[in-house]
Amino acid sequence: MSALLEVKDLSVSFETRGGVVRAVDGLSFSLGAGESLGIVGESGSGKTVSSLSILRLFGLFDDVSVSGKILFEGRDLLRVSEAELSRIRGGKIGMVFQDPLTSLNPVMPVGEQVAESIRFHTGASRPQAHRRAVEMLDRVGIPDANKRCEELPHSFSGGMRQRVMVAIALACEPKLLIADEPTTALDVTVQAQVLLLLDELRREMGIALIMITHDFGVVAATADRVLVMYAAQPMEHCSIHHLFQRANHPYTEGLLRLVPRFEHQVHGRLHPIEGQPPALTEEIVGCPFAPRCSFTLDRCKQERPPLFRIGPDHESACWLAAERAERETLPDKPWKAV
Amino acid sequence: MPYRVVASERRVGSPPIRRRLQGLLEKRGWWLFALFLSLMAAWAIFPGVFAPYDANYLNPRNRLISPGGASPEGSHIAGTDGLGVDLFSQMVEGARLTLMIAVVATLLGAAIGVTVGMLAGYFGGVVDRMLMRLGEAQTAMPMFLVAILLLSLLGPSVTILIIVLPTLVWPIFARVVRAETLQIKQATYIEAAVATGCPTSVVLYRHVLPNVVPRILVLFVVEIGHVMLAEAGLSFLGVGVQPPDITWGLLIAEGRPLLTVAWWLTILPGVLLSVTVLSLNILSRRFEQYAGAAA
Repeated sequence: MSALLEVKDLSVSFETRGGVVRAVDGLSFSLGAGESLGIVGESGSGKTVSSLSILRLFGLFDDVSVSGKILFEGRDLLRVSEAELSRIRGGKIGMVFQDPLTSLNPVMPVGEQVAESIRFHTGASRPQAHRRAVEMLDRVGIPDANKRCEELPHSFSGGMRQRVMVAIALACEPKLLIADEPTTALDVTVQAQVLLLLDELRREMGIALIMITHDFGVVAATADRVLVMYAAQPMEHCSIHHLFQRANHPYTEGLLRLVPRFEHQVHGRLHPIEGQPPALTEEIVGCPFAPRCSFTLDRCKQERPPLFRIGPDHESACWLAAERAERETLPDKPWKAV
Repeated sequence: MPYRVVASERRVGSPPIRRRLQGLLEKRGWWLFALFLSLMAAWAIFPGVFAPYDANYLNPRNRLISPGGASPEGSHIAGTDGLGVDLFSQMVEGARLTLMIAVVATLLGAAIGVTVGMLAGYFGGVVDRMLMRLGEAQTAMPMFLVAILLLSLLGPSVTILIIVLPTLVWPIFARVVRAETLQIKQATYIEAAVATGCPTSVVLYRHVLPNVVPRILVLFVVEIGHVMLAEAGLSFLGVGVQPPDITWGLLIAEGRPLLTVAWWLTILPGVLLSVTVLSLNILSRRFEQYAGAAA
């Protein structure tokens, strides 16, 4: 099976006054049609920048340098022309942003904002696009879509606006949807609704999903596989079941310990990971997590661990994992979808 | 405006007269000025309805009748000029060209300024630096003198006036629009528009432009006044509109030599011009409040 999206050794860095910031450092993953991948990490771990690079949305950054490959349906998105990219943006790859309150143009009726993208990508006439827009708005659960499509964004609530964003992103039936923390700015109850909606529509339309989040609950609800990022680098890449049952990387384990659970005793304490993530402007030697890790080996401080395959559907960038994997015998069969 | 100041109950002293007058004009009396501007527009569009006489009909026997006086042909509300032409009719007739030149020239200036400002603000970097330095270089030149030079070289005509006047105002539009664009382009909805595949041109005119319109509108109204004054100045100096065309500035110029004997020939068109510019300013302040409230 050839992958829909294949990211190979992607690195993105920005030139800033404080020095060169490496926002993404050697990221590789692949995604099959209809599959869903969650990218998890704390603020500044490079998850948003990775998603923006897929659509080359560097508009606001002047001095950005990107290396690696982003193959989408066999074409390298980092090298296609602007015109070609315009057709892919919104047409084949939809995107939902973090803050629904600022993601819609305040002076354009919402129906028109949905219709706009339809007109670009399908060449539909104004009335056709409008009808389709209303249909889409109805589908994402905007009540009375026929009337409300004439209204400006300010008369919609945050949740409703995010639904409109979903409608825009899915209006042209893309192959891939990138959702960049789509529920972070919403109330918890609304979060659940939007996630449910996203998942439902995605499955119905057979769209692949990249869900960027720092919330393990969101990942659990929407992703088949998970990529954990730390300090611009991938740390662990595994199926959703492995993540919760046998997370391998000490960083992932640390994160999971921070998720409050009901079955734990009421007066138990959460154990934060000691220390701070490294500054991305500094050269990182060895494993970026080594200074905070409780299993640090000498090797960790000197050599950067690559992603080791430690089991079917499971990769981990940890020297410890590599040692463990060597001791155990692995099935020869390469794991699927890579 | 993000917040409103609630008037405190206990006032410390009373605000200065000037401020009070200004506040009164803007809050209560603005509709009077709107009405006045509508009247001027009506003059410009249907001069025949308002002008009692033909503005080109001269009768030396009726020279220099003071305002309120009468000739055998009838009364002259604003008096007559040195050739015996009814001044009120001339003022009505002059409204057309005065307003036309000001509006068209400002529109042109706004079109250039908005385009330059959006491009500079959106693309930033080299484009920004080049375009804005161009605007600054132009602002540094005494454009009024350049206009005089150009008009005396090319010969004064309404067309050339309309080409020259926009150069006075476009840098102002460019600067305001650039600043607004810088802010707007940070908004996620611009990124979202790009992410749905909008080409840059579409992003600019469908997503950026509508969001700067309120500011442009406010500025536009003020600048009409400025351009109107500039035109009056040029016409006064003899390099603007030429007779038999009439503008208010030209009327003032023609009345100047007779200032000692016939004050009304300069004062009345002058008052008309001033009140029009004042009305435009007050109306623009009013717009600004609405635009601020909407944003």
